[in-house]
Amino acid sequence: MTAPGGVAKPAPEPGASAARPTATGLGPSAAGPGPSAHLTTVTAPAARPTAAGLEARLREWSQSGGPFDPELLAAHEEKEAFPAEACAALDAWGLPEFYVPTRYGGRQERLDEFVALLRRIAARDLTVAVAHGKTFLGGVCVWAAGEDGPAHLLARQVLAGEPVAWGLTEPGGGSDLLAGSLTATRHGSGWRLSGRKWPVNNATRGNLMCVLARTEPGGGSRGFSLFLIDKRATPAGTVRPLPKMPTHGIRGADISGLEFDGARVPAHALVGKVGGGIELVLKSLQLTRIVCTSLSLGAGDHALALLRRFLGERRLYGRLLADLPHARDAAGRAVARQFLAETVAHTAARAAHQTPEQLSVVSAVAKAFVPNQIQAQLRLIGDLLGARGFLTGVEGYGAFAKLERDHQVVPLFDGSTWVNRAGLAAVLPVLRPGRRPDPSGAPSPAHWLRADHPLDPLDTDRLRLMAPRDALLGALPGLVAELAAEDREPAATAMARALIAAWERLGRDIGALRPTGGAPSTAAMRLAERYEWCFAGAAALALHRARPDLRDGPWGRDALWLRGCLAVVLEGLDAAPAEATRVYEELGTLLTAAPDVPATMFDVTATDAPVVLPDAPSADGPGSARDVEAA
Amino acid sequence: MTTFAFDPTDPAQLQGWLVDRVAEYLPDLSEPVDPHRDLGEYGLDSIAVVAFAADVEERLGTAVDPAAIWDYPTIARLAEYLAAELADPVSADERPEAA
Ligand SMILES: Cc1cc2nc3c(=O)[nH]c(=O)nc-3n(C[C@H](O)[C@H](O)[C@H](O)COP(=O)(O)OP(=O)(O)OC[C@H]3O[C@@H](n4cnc5c(N)ncnc54)[C@H](O)[C@@H]3O)c2cc1C
Repeated sequence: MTAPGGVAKPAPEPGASAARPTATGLGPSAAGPGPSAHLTTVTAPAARPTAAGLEARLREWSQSGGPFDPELLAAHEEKEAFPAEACAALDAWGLPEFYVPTRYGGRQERLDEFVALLRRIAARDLTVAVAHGKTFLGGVCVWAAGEDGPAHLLARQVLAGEPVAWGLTEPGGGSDLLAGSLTATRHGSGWRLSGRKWPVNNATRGNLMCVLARTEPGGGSRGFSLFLIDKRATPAGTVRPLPKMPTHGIRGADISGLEFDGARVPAHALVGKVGGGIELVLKSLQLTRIVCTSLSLGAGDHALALLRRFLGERRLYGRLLADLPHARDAAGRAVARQFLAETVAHTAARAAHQTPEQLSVVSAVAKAFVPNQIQAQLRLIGDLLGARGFLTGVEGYGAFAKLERDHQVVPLFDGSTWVNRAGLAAVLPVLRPGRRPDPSGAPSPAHWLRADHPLDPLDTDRLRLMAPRDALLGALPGLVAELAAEDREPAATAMARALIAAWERLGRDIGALRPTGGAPSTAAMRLAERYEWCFAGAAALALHRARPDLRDGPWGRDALWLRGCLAVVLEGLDAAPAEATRVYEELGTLLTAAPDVPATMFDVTATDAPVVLPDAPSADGPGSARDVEAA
Repeated sequence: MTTFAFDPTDPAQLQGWLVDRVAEYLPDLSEPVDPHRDLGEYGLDSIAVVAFAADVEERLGTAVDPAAIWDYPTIARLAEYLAAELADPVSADERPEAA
């Protein structure tokens, strides 16, 4: 397949490149990605923009007068104004390239990498992350449909900085996609659309929206199709923006909608097959739900940083707040939840490459679990911050009230916690422990979680609506046995054994579930929640096994991070270990005593591991890989 | 490999078996399940269809994507499709496009 105009990559690592607009160069780059004369440079080794590079820029941009200056962002929030400067800086840095798969000329290769990038932005400002990151969601269906013509067309627009909205929800529909009443009917060789999409992020500011429309009057699973609408190409007056909605959080974001009034669109606006809309959306959501977890992780990072500062400077009764055992315990719980949330997000992002067939389960767990963990973590931190979590004008602590408001949208959009949990509950009988063992020879997650494991390319053709099994929980008994055999971590091993026992109890309870033709029962929903906890515990054990480097450093000593994760998991499973209080105390002490140790296991600033992909030689950069494909 | 008390490659026998499976999901249904009626008309909602597909897949030992049920929405049509798939798993993989 020929790449658009046969162009090669524009100059990478914008951070180091004088050719690219930088911090102060606001506004999308006119010379940005697009047809360019870089063909001759493809053989030159090109440094890839990284999360560490982005973090460095963000730090600069956050200084006074910069596009991410907290004062500027707070002022926008106050006035419900769009964070245009920050979004423009991200455009100039080249973030849009990460919305486009490499085969269409972008840099989107690895979901774990994208999660790390969006997390860095979310840790600065959730409104910006939601507003800019939306284009990942808007594009996914087009890439997944896999038709080269439309995909290249969209790729060119996204690379030029054009945002793309994703219009699924309708005023009367909420979570129920099949209730959608926006209708597309055939008109000549093209289509005519009538109806409303609302509320939709970026609906007014963007020119492009990927819209789910009813194409069979009776609806049904095969009664919907997707269309990529370019407002500029529709007859005047037939596509109208709906007013921006005032919101509790992410106040500056463009949360609005579109009204279609017999809007004519050409035949090539159709994305995928007629009748294939629901299937394509459900598969695409498997990726976007994993990406949404980055918003939660960033919020958690931000909150933990504020907490650390507070514990280190607040004095009460003649001593530091951190000297209160209760404060250390709560801080320890907050860190443990962050570790657990990031472990699940990281595992899910890599599973997208390695076990895409199982992603319906993995993504549902990730989207139900991670935002909930961070909500709980924010409650703990808000409680500790006391008045400073509530007063919005005190020396920088006002950021907490904002991020707490902003984060509330994450558990409810792109499939709420309950929507995801219901999907999981329905398939629990198939996922029951031991019911369907993995075929022998299937690599354990502990294998593909290894830092040096070359991930399979993201292949949306491998996504399925239903997972035949769950390799992660299938690996749990083996992981516990391996940990026990190592005989190095008796405390963690005891907790891991308790997890196995909880998992077996869950299996028995799932075995007693009766099938249902309607919505899952409350009891089934509770079992699904227990499933999420078990999944999270298994993810932590797999990561511990896969990453010996995480056994070093302060969090790794005596498997501290692992014990923290397992303590939270066992509490969630009503099997709190006696060890828990001590673990939280250790974590909380370390958080306050070592302020320079990043409160994450995925510190992007420490290591900048080269990206290893099997068939995209990183030394040559993606440009050459695509040229090979085009040849 | 799963063994059956019936021949799953025979659409008629598979249809009878599927009728019993669907009935399990509809404990409140008073009349017999009609193999020629759309499953959706029985109130089997979209989540339940995924569960049903998972269940059938597991018991038959062959891949049953829920989308197959969307494309073959009655038990009779689904039975024909699945019987063909079980008889010749390779060619049945290429499902016709839904119109
Ligand atoms: C800021 C913001 C931005 C948004 N951006 C977009 C966008 O860009 N594009 C877009 O298409 N949509 C967008 N949405 C819509 C969002 O995805 C919807 O809010 C979501 O689909 C749920 O709809 P609802 O809130 O009306 O809840 P409802 O669907 O009415 O649900 C009500 C309650 O029932 C629960 N519930 C729903 N279904 C089930 C179930 N099957 N089992 C158990 N419980 C269930 C829900 O969790 C909720 O608690 C956005 C919403 C907001 C607030």
